Amino acid sequence: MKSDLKSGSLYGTVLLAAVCLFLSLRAGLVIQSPRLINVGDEGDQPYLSDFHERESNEWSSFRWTKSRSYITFPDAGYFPVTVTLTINAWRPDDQPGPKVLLLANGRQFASFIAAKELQTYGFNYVPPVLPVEQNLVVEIRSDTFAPPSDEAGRTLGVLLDAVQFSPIRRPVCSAHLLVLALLSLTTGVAYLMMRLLGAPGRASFTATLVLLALACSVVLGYPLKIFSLAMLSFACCSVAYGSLLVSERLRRSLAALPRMALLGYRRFARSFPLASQVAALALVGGLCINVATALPRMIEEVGFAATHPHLSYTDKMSEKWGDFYNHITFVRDNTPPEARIAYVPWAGPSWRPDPKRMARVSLMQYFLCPRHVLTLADDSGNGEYTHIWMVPTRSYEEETAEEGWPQFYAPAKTVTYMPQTRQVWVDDFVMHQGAQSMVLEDFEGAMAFDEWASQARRVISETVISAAPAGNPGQALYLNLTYTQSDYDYWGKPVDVPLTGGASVQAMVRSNMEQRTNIVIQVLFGDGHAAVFGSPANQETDAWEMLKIDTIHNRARDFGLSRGWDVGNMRITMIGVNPGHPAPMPYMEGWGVLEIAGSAEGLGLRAGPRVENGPCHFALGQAYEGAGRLAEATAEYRQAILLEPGDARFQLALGEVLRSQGEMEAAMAAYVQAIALAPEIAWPHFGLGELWLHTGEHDLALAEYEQALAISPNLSEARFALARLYEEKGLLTQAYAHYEVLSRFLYDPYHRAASEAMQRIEEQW
Amino acid sequence: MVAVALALVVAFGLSITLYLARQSAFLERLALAYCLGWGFLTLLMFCVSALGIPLSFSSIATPLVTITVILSSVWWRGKGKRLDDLKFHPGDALRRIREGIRGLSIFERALLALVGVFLLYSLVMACYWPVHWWDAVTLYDFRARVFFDTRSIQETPLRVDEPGYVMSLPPMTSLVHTWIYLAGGANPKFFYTFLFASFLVMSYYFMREYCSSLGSLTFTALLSSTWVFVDHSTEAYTNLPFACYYALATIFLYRWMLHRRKSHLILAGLTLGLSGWVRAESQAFFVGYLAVLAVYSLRRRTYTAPLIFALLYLSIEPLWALYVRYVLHLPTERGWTYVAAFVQVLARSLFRSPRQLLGWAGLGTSAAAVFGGSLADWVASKPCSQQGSQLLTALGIVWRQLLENHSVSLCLFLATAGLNVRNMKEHGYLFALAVSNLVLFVGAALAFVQIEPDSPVPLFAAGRLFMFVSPALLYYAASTKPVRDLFDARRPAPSRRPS
Repeated sequence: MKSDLKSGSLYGTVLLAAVCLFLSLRAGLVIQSPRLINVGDEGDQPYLSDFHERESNEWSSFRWTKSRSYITFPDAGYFPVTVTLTINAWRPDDQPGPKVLLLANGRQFASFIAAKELQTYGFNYVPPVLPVEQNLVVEIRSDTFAPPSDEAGRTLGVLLDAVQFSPIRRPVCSAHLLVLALLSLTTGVAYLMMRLLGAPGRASFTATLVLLALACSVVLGYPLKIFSLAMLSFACCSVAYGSLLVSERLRRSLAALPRMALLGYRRFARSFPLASQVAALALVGGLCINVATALPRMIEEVGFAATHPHLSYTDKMSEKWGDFYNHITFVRDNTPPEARIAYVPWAGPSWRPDPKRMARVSLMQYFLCPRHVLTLADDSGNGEYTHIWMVPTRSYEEETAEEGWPQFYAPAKTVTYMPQTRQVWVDDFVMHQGAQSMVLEDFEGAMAFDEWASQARRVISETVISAAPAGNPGQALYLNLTYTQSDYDYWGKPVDVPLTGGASVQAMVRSNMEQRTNIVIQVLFGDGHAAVFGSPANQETDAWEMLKIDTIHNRARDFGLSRGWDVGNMRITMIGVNPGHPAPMPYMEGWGVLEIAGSAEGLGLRAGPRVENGPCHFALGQAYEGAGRLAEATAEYRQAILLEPGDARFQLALGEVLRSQGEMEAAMAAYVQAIALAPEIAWPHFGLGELWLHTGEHDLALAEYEQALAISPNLSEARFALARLYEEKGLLTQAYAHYEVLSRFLYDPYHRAASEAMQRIEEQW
Repeated sequence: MVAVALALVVAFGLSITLYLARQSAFLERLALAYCLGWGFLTLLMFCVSALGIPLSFSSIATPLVTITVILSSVWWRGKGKRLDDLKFHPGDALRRIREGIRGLSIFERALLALVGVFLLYSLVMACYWPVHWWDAVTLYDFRARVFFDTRSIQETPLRVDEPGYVMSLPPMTSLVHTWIYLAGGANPKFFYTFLFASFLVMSYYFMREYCSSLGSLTFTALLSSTWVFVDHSTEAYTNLPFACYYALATIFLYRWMLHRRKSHLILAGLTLGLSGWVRAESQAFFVGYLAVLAVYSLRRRTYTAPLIFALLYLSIEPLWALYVRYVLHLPTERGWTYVAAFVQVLARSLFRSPRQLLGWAGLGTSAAAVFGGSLADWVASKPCSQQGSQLLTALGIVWRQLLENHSVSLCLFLATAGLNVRNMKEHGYLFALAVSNLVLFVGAALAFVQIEPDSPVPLFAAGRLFMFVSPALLYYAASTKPVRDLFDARRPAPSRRPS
């Protein structure tokens, strides 16, 4: 025992010495002064990796980043710093500024939309306690673009002029010493605790060593596998050595075990009354049950923590909340702090209908704060919303196929959705003029399309001429793009063909998503103006389809005349494909955020493109509609339809705005057109039903409402209108059934009205 | 900074225990100080915010330190007060701990190690995972973040989209989180682990009053290894704090019955009040305990005790509901309407048929006391046969829930109570407290069956509710004669029987 105490004292002395060393080293602070790297100057190479070559202009030198570029600050990874970047995110006029993500040692600490001019951005980075990283590696991720004038065909991220880091708090000492001191303290305390609990000195020392090794593996972030092998070897040796020592005693004990057990039981039975024996049994059994219940769960949890010691907050929440957390962070990253977000009435993490879960709004707000999350309940009093959270969700009935929300019409400023990869093959661009055909592009060894004009946020994965997939022999143009936002994204090739009467252009197209791709041509008018005309979008998934732009000459002439342009000498100057065609309704894009077009501010951003196209006129119309300028919105929608009559969105929007202005016949025609183009959308049927109701044709209205509900059982507006109509017609059973569905969901816009109507009907019964 | 904040809270709690826990061992005092410190700190934060002072570390720490200094100074200036009274000997603490551990038998060491393992697991998990449970993020931590952002309780309803819901439930855990955020902390979940540890320490010392060290340690190990407790100690949710304060109320109420020290009665009232400061269901349990206390007081002719107990409870519990209703002008969740339902159902049953009153009202009223008028209507309207079948359904559900989560506590309680039937009078009031809890729980499950017969959610809620009941059952099991005989044969326990 004395020797044990001595070794304990010795270890205590070592521990104290370690603490003293740690404290004395505190005096010798590792001074970390602010460090500035002038990117593009001589000597920036040690700090930078995956950047483009150095460039300079008359003001400064700089480098362009790639989609991922890295800056390394030596010995700065373990204390809080402010990272300041001077960036210019130049882009062509028709493209927005890119989104830039900053990651420090693999953890995201900032994201922002970079301006198209030189600006300085500063962000604080506070490293986690563990693991202790010596170097700070800042990763810059950004959307890229390919400048048309770049001969090398580079894709550029952002222009980095300078980067600086400055410590927020001075580090106490260097990373290695910090780790050493912490480990000394921890293992010292562990040793003393084991000694206090009565463990022998050698055993405590050995266990401390094991603990030290494990702590090293976790703290320094080494792969646990190496240490687990070492530990396994160590444990095997220990067991073998221990077995040799105790084998003799063990043999004797085993021989005596049955006798001892019998004696023990007899002694126990003699010592305690029967009641106590039963109580003992219950206690031991209870303790065993408790431990057996808890142990597997504990092992699972600890195992997870041990194998994932360095997870960030985001990773942990993703682990616990699954995709829901990714969706909610997507919404957070794509809405401003002042946003007021409307969300699906029956939402929850599992998106199962559960009207009793009152906590849902607060749940969203926890992650989205300070943004407001609103219900559309008729008595919520929450006022106007600025954004809508789009969700692919099941409808009222669990067994109903998955649908999306919102299914009602809302003028949108932008629609941003979770990354969506589109694969498009294009082949055989042919122009027909009467009986004559002219191949404009067949892609047999020819160069690929260039990027032409875009209003989209996307990442280009691949654009090549490749072998066409089955169903179409030869070669085809292949585009692989991941979008998070797209109004249009034109990829084209210059041609120069006179546009004469009866001309049409067609191409073979195949896409992995229906209604997301169309072909486009650019027509140059006699006075130098230009406009893009588009075909209807593809209707099938993963199948070759022929997309066609008919009667181009007439359409171009009508459009030119409507704009007052010279339609005398028109030429086709560009042919191409638009893989960034939006879905007919935003909810079809899946998870995402729709920003409501709420005011006329910023109209200039999209007004007057150099080459006019349908999506631009549509966007302008949406902005006017949001601002309440309905006449101007109608004009813009009509322009858009002239350019792309096959787009259901334009017809639907025109129908809505005409209905608001009381132009019933014109609205009806627009709705009919929208239904013809996209029969899978419920809203035009509802709009048509409203028009019939207004004109007193109740039976026709009823049929349209029923049609709308057959397409989308989620459409509360149609269900409420139908129920109301049934009630007016005296068909109370049918009306009651629809009201009952609406009354199930507390946050449904018609919940209260439906509940009141049910009471009313019950009273009548 | 978080360590400083924690030290301030414990020091504040210690200064309160100088007056209310004079005879306690230091570890027990420390555990009680932790519980009381947080409870009264949050009350202080509430008062500061109600006065319109912005919540900040300094605005809370200043009165906290002032009160601590005043309480300590007044105690110090009292006659014959010495530091030894605290039973705190920092100089030889290590030696005393070492000797204490060496004095334990091998079984006791093993049990202590088991408790240590569960506490260590709880601490590791609490620190590893951020706040993520559904209700924690939806309500308690969310509210804390808004308190922290706005530096105010009053402004919170303006910042949240469901003010009626967010503000309806008592604020203690949210204010605890706020204090930790104000101190620069990022993850407030360590509070729950330490509270769990304090709860275990208090339970140990309480059972030590009538049981040997091995016996108390065994039951403490049973408590510490009950998965529901362990799980809740790693999460930022209100069930564990409520169970802790409620268990403290049980401990001190029964201690008062054993020793008749006024400080115990005060602590019982205060801790039950603090349980109402954590969750909104305390009223029904208060009524149950008040009934037991009333019977005790009538028999022992200590008529002021129920009054003191009720006054202390009512000095804390209704504060939040009154504040929300009359200052924030928002509706409050649950509250005394359930106790009103209790009276209502009793009266209805009395007037309708004495058979109903005798047969079902006892069970129904207790449930109504927890979950309101829907059950009152049910009791009054349904024929007895239908009630009987639904009661059987409820009991079946309760039984399944208990088997899943609390089978050990319940079986031990039933087994030991059965074995102890001849000595039922001994610790009879502890038995009465445990049984009142059990009846309330069964009633609550019955209410759940009534409210949502097909939904699984209320059954989970019912299962969690049993957390509040479980400690009292184990305390009683530890007090029974067969258990005491089992452990006393090895080492005699100090004999303190009720006078």
